[in-house]
Amino acid sequence: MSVSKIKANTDVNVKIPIKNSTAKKVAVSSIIPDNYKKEGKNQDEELSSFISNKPRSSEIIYEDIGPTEEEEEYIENLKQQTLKIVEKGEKINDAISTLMGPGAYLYDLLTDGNFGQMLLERTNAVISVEHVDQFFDKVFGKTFQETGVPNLQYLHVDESTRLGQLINSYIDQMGNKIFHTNAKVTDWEGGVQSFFELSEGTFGNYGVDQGVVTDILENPDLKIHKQIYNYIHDLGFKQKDISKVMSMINETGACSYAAIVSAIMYQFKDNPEAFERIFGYPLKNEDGTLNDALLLTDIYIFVNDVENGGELFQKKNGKYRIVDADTENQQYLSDVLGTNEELVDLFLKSKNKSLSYDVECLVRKKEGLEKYEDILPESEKYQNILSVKHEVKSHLLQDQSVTLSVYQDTLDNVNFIPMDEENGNARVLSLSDGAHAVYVTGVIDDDERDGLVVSSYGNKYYVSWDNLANAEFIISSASIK
Amino acid sequence: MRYYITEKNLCTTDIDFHLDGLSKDEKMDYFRQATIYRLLLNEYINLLGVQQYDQILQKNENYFRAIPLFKQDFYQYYSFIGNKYYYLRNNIYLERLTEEERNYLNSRAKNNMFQIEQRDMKFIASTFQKVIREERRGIKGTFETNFGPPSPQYFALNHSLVIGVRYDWSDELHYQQKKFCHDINQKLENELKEKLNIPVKVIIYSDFSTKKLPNRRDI
Repeated sequence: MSVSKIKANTDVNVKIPIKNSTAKKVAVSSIIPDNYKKEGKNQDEELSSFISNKPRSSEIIYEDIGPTEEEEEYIENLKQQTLKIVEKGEKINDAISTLMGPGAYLYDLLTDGNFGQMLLERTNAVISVEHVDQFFDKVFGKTFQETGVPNLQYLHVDESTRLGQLINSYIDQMGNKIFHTNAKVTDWEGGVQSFFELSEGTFGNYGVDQGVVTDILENPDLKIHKQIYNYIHDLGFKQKDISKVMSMINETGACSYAAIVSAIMYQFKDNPEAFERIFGYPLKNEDGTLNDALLLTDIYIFVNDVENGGELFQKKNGKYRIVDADTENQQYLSDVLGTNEELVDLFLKSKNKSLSYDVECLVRKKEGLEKYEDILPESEKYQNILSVKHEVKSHLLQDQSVTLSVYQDTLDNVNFIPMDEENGNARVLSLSDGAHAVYVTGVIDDDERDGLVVSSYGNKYYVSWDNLANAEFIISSASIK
Repeated sequence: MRYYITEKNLCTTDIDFHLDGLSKDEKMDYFRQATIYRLLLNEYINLLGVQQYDQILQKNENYFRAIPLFKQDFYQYYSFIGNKYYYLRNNIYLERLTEEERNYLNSRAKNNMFQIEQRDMKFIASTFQKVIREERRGIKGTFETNFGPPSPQYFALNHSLVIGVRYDWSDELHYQQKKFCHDINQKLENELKEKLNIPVKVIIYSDFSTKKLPNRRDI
């Protein structure tokens, strides 16, 4: 029997997106170090003013997405049909079998597992109208009213059963409408899109270009060249080594660094003042572009310092030197979680002890790892992807920083298709010589495209689910607390 | 110049072609043709001007040390033509040759002692664009792909002529070496683009961005 057609990662605690500015104020304040908060100004007022003047991604989305009257009517109809089954007084085993199929976790659909536990113990229980209400509230309740997306985390459906068919039918008819019709790029990308489109990288036109420091090295007349040069010089590197350090940063590939730089900058998007106080340099350059080159240089030198577990640089008597110029021995900021939480956390704590970097793996598709169940048979791929879509969007809505890492040697190629086809060529990655990490800014699903929107090489691409279905990859979500 | 083609110096790893099911003789024919084609194309780009740039590096005041044979990657090792630094970095897809073209190559590859002739250059000029073109399932039209690690500097258009250049990095003169090489590569790219009217990319490789030559395929 076919089960687990729609299965969310039960480890994930999906929160309802923060909608009002009061809640946001708390979230932003929590990343500000104590010494900053204690200074004279009323920082909360400053933040509140800052936030209220800036549209939030989730607000934009709430305006644009929500169930239509037709959808609401369909849900009501679905609910009434379910109630009829329950009102017949069918016993729990029969009801479960009728509604969801044997072995389905209707229990957990109801009250966060508590009711499910009770039902497991009391198999003669009867599903009440109240429980159906609870179920519908979970799946099509507040979150659905706000976002227009059914809470698939609570669905675990066997389509061979009546309710399973009804729900699948809903997903096919209304769900497709939600996922397709309403899924305009701007809606899905929300704040991430506006952040990266309004704040280009130093060289990238959409987010951070991993080769930014190398490009700066080749353009010595740029003002930023002097800034990077001075920054490395002030760390104590010999003058003759500075160009070499800059050259090393993207020699074997800095994609995982670029993704983390995007992630950190996005977490501070609403509070550039805090960023500057913590890191010692501004979030943006004078021309409004992201100060990505400096943060990339900063984190690269830090994590490759011998003291922090690296092999390339060492500080002695206050002076840095290159101890190994072979950048194949550099550290990478991608690991089995998708992001090297420990290293990024160490870097942030070096700036301020109160900061921490929390990473959550949303989906890991790789043979040989424990979480092998993420790989579903071909016939179930679509439902699985629906689940992944929901996970990714849910985390983007919570202003989390989401990254995608594709493994080396996993397939012939991963295709990065430009979002604006008139603006650049597709980039087809041959992964025989290396893996790749990108920053996820959204989910796209229109007539022609169905996949993730990403910032890579400073450009805006999408990667299709079909393509990823044949790859081994990790999608993870992170936030700074 | 004469080249001695023996089993020992056949390039046997440049394969994007399903060889299973071929007899040993057929495989040997394929490898021999692939070797000759790579040799001829390297010679062709040398005639177009690459050799002169190789000599510029040799004469440059910054000290450019050549990579020893045992440290070279597949593409440099099998370039054959005696350059110290520059080599063809494209893959060769012989299966795109017509039967007539394969027959020509086969007839030229028969003898162990091979001497390049004018007609070989004409053959290369008329066939190399389809032979080096990268194609990927599910992608139509022009795209960029990586000739090396998936970092920006290794990307080129799929129908580009891609030339690699490699030298031993000097700790002291690294930046100067790279800048000088980058500047002359720009000139080389422009010169070749003008002559060939196709995209050309010259890429600086290093120990980090190349794979040491794998063991010879057991045939």
